[in-house]
Amino acid sequence: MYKILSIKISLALFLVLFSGSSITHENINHNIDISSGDKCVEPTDIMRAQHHIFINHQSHETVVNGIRTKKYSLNNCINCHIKPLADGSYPSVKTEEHFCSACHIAAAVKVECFDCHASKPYKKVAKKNIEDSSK
Amino acid sequence: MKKYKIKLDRRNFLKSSGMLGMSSLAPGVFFQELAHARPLNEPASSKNRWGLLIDANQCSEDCNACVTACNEEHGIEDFGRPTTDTQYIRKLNLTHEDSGESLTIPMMCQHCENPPCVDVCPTGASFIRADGIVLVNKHTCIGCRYCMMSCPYKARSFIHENLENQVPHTPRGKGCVESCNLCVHKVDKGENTTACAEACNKDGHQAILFGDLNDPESEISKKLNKYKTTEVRSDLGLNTAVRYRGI
Repeated sequence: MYKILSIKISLALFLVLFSGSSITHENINHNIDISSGDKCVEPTDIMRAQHHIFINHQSHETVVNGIRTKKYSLNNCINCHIKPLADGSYPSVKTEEHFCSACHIAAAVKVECFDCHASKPYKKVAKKNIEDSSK
Repeated sequence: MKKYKIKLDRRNFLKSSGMLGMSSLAPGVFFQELAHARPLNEPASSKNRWGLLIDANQCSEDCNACVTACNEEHGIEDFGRPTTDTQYIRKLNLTHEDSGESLTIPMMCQHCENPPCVDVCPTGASFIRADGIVLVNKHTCIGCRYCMMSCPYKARSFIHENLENQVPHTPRGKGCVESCNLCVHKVDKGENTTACAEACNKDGHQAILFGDLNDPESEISKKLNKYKTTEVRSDLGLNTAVRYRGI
């Protein structure tokens, strides 16, 4: 009985101590598009902990009340954080090269935003498509 | 007596200064309302009621510009399944059984004041905004499609496919119901137009007019005053914001 309990406690301790190492943000390369500002709308530690709360709140304000301020809007996040790859295309939200997916894949937290929302900057994509078609 | 007199004077002073204040403030407030669209951080207001006036006489049977423009604006793809593919607008061609008189009109969500889709929605996802635009909150929609059954105009569509490359201003995804949102992103920015109205004007038909039904000075209100217009299924008493002329 005590043996099982001690195994359980040591397993829990092991998980608490070592599970965090794979999801620290230091080993993930976060690229922010410098051309569109050099810092986020809130300090990094607040954004890491609460970005979903800001986005959720803003989504209600926008859909129900029609408030379209840029500060916490998901489109604003995407326009700033999603940078083109070396070949000029934008990373798919299913790959770790996508800013949101980099952490969410590592932390195994499913993002449902992009089932409906655009995961790439729109105007830049549209512009690139026009350039491609004119070539 | 002397005291009373002072009191009266003070009251008169307050009254007159108040009146003066109001008269100097009022024009400022008035001009501000006229000059500026609603700021981005202010919620939609019931002072407005956005709507469309569609002139069937100007609408051309072989023209599909409003539908194309709408699909492009909202990133609506064609999956080759006309019975279930999303339609925010569709063109109707009607022929009178006896006289053979034909008619063509675009049909979309009529943005009712008393919308049946809102009445039946079990989650509150289908709602009417303060400025009269009927929308689906896709964060709350469970895709039960009760609203599709209740809508007398068959305005709503269900998304059957996994979607990619949506446009940022119109988030759409599998399992949700959607319909014409009166280009709410344009309305919120104060652009005062819709993709369909723009396309119709560009093609020179000018059959679709967007405007504020609550503003007596707006072009749409003036036309509604001047001409005889019709609500489709007015017998249902839904008070639609989309009106038709010449049907």
